[in-house]
Amino acid sequence: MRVSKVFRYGGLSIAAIAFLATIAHFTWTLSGTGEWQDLDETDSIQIATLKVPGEGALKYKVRMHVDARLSDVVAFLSETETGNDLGAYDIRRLEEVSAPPVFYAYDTYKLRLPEPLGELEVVIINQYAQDPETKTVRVNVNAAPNKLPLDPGIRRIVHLSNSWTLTPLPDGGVNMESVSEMDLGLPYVMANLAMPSVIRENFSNIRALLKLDKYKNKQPAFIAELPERRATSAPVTAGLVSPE
Amino acid sequence: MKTMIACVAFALALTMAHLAWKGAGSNEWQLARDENGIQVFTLKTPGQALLKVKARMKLDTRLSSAVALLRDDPFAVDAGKEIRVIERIETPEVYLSYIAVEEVPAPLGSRELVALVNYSQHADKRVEINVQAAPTKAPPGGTSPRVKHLNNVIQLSPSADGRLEWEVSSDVDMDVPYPLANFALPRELFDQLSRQRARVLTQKYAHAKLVSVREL
Repeated sequence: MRVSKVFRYGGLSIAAIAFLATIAHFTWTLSGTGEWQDLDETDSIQIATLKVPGEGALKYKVRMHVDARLSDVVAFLSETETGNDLGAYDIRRLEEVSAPPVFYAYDTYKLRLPEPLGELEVVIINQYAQDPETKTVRVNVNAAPNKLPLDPGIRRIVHLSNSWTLTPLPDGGVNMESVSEMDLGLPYVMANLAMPSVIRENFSNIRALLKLDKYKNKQPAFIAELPERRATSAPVTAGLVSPE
Repeated sequence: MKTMIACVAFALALTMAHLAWKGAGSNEWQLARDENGIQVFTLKTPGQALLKVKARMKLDTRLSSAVALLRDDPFAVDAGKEIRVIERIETPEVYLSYIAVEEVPAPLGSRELVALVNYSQHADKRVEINVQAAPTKAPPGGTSPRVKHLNNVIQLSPSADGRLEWEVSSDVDMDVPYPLANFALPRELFDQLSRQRARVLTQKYAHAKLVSVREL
């Protein structure tokens, strides 16, 4: 076969693949119902996904029950030491504001992900608020990449948003719900395929870690238990300022 | 055959230009515009295609006036656009709110924004306002794509002569091609500060008092 023919057919094949990939990309990106769809329930961890028309990456909602006190779950999520058990390192608290009913903290940590992602730096704000009546705790975690000067030697996550709802039950235990979205730098096709199993593993880890003694009998100053299980610390009494 | 070669050469040239731009940058702020008392700077970080933009001005206004304007409307959106407060907590020590704007103007169409706004005051009375995208704070449902990457930092520094230094550092991805975003962002930030300067000097904000802000 002559070189020019090889070049012609090779070029046509590449053009055809690029064309099909472009069509597939636009078809996928524009698809979606904008509503949560149940994906999987394994080991009592429920995962639902949401596809927004116009976006490539999926959003995730996870529900799980844990046999733990609300205070222990909040401490688990809010204390920087927890990161060591979840694969993070170089964990630092940059700023902490605890003025009930508000608690928020800026934290930074690093993660080492499989190649080609490599090392990632995360700078986030964690904000906690508790409903004074139901004792439900809402935790909002959002990327705050400019809270710390940029280190050009490491990639920093700029899109990460996670909203937790922690509902204590009168007969014990806490229902955890997490709505999350993030961009770790993976092409969305790979991220959409990989994230459900990553999420399932993370939640499974959380449930196992909460059984360890070191995560029990915690008492964050800004959290009150349900009346039957109320701890001895001063309850949070101030409420939210109603929006106008 | 010639068309095929031209297409391949064009794609190659685009790829080279993209890689050259992405790898470029001093990671230092460069003055891009100095006009009407507003200075605009850009920063190109090697490895990132989007520019960061910073703008600065000095005003004869009170700290409380500036914070009152910025905390509920950090982007100086058009007067007709509704800014919805999802949640707000204010005490003498702390301020924190989640806001939603349905249609923020952007190149190639508008965007929906859900953001966390919080500020703290330093011992020297300087106020730092942080605005962070919080896309999971409200259920999806708007008609425009929601902004996922935004982290603006606003520094308000009062001085003894009564003037206020007003600096906005903007780091935002409106999900438009970066050449277009890099062209539009410095202009938009200049216009934003111009609008904010005009609004903060109006009667509505001139005598604002906030429990969470102490004047110099």
